[in-house]
Amino acid sequence: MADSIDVLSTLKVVYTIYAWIVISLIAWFAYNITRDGRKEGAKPAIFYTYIAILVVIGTGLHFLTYHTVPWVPYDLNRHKITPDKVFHITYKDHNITIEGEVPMLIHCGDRVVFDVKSEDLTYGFGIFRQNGTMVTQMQVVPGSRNDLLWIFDKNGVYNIKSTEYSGPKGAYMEVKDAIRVIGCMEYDRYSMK
Amino acid sequence: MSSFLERLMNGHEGGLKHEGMTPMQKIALRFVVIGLLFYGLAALEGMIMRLHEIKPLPMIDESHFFSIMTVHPMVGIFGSSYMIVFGAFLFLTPYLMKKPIYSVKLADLSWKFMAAGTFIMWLAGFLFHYAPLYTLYWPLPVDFEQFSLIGGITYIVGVVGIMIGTFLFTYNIFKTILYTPPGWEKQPSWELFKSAIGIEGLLNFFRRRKKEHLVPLPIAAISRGTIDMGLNAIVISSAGVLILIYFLGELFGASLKDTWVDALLYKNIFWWGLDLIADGLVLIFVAGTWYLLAMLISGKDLFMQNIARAALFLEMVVSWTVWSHHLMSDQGQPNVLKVVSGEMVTAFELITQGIAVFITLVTLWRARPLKMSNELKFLLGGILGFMLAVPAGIIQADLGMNRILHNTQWIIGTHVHVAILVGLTMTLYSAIYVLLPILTNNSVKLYSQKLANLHFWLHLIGGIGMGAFMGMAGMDGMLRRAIYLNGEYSTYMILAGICGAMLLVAFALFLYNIVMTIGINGLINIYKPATIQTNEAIPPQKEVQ
Amino acid sequence: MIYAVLVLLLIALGVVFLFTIKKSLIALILAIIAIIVGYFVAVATIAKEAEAEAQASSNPEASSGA
Repeated sequence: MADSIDVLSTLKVVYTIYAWIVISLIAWFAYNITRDGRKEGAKPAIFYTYIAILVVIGTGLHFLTYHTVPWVPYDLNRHKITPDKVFHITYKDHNITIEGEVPMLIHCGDRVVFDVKSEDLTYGFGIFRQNGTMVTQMQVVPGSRNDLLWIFDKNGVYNIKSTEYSGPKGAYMEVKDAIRVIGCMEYDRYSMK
Repeated sequence: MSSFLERLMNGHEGGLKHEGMTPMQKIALRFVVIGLLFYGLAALEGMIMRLHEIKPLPMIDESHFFSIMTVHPMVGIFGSSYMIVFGAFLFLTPYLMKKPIYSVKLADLSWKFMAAGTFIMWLAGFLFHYAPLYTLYWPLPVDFEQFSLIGGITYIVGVVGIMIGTFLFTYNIFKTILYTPPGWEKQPSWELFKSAIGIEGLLNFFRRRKKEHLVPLPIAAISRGTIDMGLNAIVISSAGVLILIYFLGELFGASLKDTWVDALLYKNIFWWGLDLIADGLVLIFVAGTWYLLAMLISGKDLFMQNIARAALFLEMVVSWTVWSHHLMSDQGQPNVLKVVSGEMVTAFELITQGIAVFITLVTLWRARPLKMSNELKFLLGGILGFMLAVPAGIIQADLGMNRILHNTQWIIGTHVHVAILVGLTMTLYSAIYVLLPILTNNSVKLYSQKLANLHFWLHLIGGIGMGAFMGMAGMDGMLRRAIYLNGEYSTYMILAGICGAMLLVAFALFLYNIVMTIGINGLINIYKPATIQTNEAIPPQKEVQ
Repeated sequence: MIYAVLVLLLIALGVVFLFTIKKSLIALILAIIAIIVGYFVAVATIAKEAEAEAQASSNPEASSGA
């Protein structure tokens, strides 16, 4: 199953190629605009094909990720999914309190819900690997249900960090080694201890 | 006096001859000069934050760092971008409509309110370390355990100044388009209103016999962007009043419960308003400015004018309905808003901005060969900036990608800073180069073309480079509103810092070039009353091409 | 300036919305529509004002009340 590292590696490659294409296109345009040559405008067919391509890219991206990024369908349908385990976490006074044992022990492939409550400010809940890369995150808004359904398929030990600014006092909100995933065939090589 | 001092004081080849300038020419330049100074301040703040992200600076603690982060975008957007845009449009609206501005006094008051408001708001951060960030997520702005009341009140007073300046601008722009100047034949105010905001264009879709547009295309863009600007100012003002109510409660010893306000609902309304800047007026104003610049540079009519008008109208409607892409990581946000507003409607921005890119480039292409002037190269830089930043925004406005990109350096680097610094700012530089001869009645000659070229390349490479390295750090998990103490992302941050320094040096070169062109005496004279008393944009019988 | 009065009313309306709307998608959308429509009305008053001023100046006797 693809994880954030796989998805972001693809993004890195695709966006870098795209960036060099548009930079080259503008460079080519800048060079040729100073030279004499054919001056006619674009034919309507070219314009409408271009628009069609933009529509396909703009909307196609979302269909593509719905079918290839694993967390999209289960995030959208999480109210219909019965979780295997629910972890209750509370944010207050710039502290993160996990109910029960720490680290939170998760079995491979279990559907777990992180049910996070804020009793004062808006915070963020992010799961990070040992090398600092992000696994997933959500906002933690006071007065709202903040529930994140996640399935881990690699063994590893993960940290929790607040991903939203909650004032200078919240600059370093973190719980190290807050999650431990066991029982998978594969190990998360960026998050082993 | 040495030749350097002589040039510094009196400018290149005699500098600015202010005697023949109209009040509106002077006011436009007042806006631009103050806007550029605030840009310098924002760039300096940005550089301090860049250095702090490489290795935390000992003299800056958390509250200081986040107060810089709070005022940095406010100074950049309201003190700089808004100011330059206001100056340009308060001049261009009467200039393009070929009628006098409705009120010179209101225009003059606008820059004073904007400049004073931005400065007071900046003081709230500098003196009192008030730091709820520009997002003002509820109830952080009224957290009296972290922030002082005096800091909060100062901040809100500053914001009030900015909002008054903004409303004066909106009124003056619309009134100038719609009114009948004294002694003129009666203007069709209602027809002009319908044409300016796009109702006529919409009705034309259903008419067999199309009605002619009464306002030129750039005025349509200015009007529609100004609608978004007004809506945005209403929302920011409402949030400001709400926060002020809590401040007053605290001041008089009656602490109000922050749970009276639904934090998620507040976030929705506030982001709806904020997005009218980012996804509304910026994109609309930029598209309108590109069209105007393309017409002025090429000397030709715009290619596919009707499509351009329709796209401007579509952009306005789209800008009212895209805010939910900022709340895709909020689990309380209904799925329907995340998918329809956050993903699908946001994707339309790729189309509307794509249309603007296409039409501008084809308009220029039809006039080739063109000289690679400063205005043309900065325009192409601006177009490139949006070609890079808009797709980055579309990517993060996706449920799959947002889950792993939200609040990372990707958002603020690859999307926001490339859009603002490369896309918007380079477009504004192009507009400044186009407007300089018109605003100064052709009285100034640029001091150094070499410096202008250096400014262009340093700004372009620095802006794209900084965005790229911030984006790479973001993809490796670096958050946008966090401090890293142990050099976790130092390689990316050093590279981003070098690019940030390029941007700062680029601005210093540009400022030096402009000061040497106009002269310090010329700059001072901009702020002296005009000797000609007229509401016309340019001096009578002196139409500048 | 009716425009200024309407803008102030819309700001007040915004504050009322922020205090009163709780977890209602319909109310949120209606609030947004109300602000958009309200602001268009405010801008339309500028056109109305301009129209009235033009009428008055083309008919100075009427405007001076003579």
